[in-house]
Amino acid sequence: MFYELLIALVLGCFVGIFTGLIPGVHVNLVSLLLLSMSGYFLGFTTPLVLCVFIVALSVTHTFLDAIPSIFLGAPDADQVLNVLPGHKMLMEGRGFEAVKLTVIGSLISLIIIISIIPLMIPLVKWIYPIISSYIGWILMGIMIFMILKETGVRGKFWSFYIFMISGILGIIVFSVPNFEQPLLPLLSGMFGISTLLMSLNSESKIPEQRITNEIKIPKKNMIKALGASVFSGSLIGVFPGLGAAQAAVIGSQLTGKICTYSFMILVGGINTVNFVFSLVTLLVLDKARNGAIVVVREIIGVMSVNGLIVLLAAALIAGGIATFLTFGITRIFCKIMSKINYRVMCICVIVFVAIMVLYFSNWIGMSVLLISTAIGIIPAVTGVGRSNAMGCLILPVILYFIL
Amino acid sequence: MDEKTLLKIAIIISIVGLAALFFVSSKVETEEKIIDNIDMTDIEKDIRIRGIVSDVVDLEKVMILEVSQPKAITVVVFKDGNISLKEGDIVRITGSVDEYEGEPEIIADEIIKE
Repeated sequence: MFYELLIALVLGCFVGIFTGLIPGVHVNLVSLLLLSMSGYFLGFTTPLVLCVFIVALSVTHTFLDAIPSIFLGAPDADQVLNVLPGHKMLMEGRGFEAVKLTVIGSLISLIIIISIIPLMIPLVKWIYPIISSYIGWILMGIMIFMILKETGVRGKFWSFYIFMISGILGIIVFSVPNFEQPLLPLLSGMFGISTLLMSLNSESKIPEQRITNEIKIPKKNMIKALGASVFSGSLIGVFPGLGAAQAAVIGSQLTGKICTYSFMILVGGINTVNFVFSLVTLLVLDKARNGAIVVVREIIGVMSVNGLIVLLAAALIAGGIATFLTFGITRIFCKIMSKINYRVMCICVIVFVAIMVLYFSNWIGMSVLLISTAIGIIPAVTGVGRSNAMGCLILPVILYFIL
Repeated sequence: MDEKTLLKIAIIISIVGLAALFFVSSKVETEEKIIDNIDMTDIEKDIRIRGIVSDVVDLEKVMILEVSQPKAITVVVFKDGNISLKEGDIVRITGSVDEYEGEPEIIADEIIKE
């Protein structure tokens, strides 16, 4: 059994490299493919081995998905909010540092969340029934606060406008029947392609990337960022409908004004915490909070405490392996990025994302991609926070809880 | 924080994870069995069964269940707190196989009511 688990773990990390690096290929997609073939695999292995594969794949993905987000400006749903600061660092020759910060967030948060899970299990049991009735109002409060914190009447207006227009688009997109992979065109357009188009417009060129061994971050900022990532990542692991991007919004509100470095740590950490905490939610509430966990639940049936310990141990090992993988792959990206014609690369990424959208989400997806790209350009032009465009996910969630 | 420190942390957590995986994997190595296939060769093995509770004898410190699939097997549960089970409940039981009067029975470690 031990060796079977190890093989599954290594294979999971290997597949996680591809899902992490290729924009549009999400963990959920691979997990669902595995579920469809689980009948065959269960002929010669156990459900737990398949679940270890999914956990290793997902954890590796949460480490590596920062690379396309920062270097290509093509994020997946969990990395949308680090596109802008990450891309900014890339343009200053600090792409390696940007990825390293997300690795610090992922690795340290992974250790923290696994250490406190014995405390979190009774806490989730106690707190879930209390907070679940108010989550919609809490989210609404956070969004009102975000809009009001923009400077000037003009800033507040555009902030509100972007939140509402993206929210309405989100509601429409999620109500379209048989619309496969709706998040891919929605978020790629709003946060990825719009950023790349703006970069094309500014005639930017990627400077030579420097490899920095040490990053100095004030301890206080780092603790704040890690604390916020563990808190908000756990919060969204408990409640339905929320994702890593909303957690980044909540987390950055909790920390107050933080530097770019801390923000990158925050976003990197949330992603990993969210996935690991979903396993706790599965054990305690018997509820699956993301696609990969849905598949784990389908395969394993009822999660036992020992099963959870095996999956958490797999997450720890995968986190360790993913740290090495991320640094190695980022070094390769740093070497080749300055030699690449940035305009050509941007166009290639835009075309690639469009092809992925067309393949997974059909012509409806292409229409959504166009509209969401148009909305994604507004924050850059008006100078307000791009996180307001997260209304595309937050408004439907608020309505889901309140109505 | 420098890269070497991060890599050291990565190595340490991988080793801790491997150790945990090694020790816990032996405890979860419980295959789901059909009651019909449980025999004396399974004595001392950890197994898992799923079935319907067809009889309950509730004593002070122990509960003795008959679990059917439809073939029945006796399951002994040493009570650790309140256990509420009744005839007709569908349960998933993890435990070890023991022998009583020449017949296999299960000493339950974990019972999950479905």
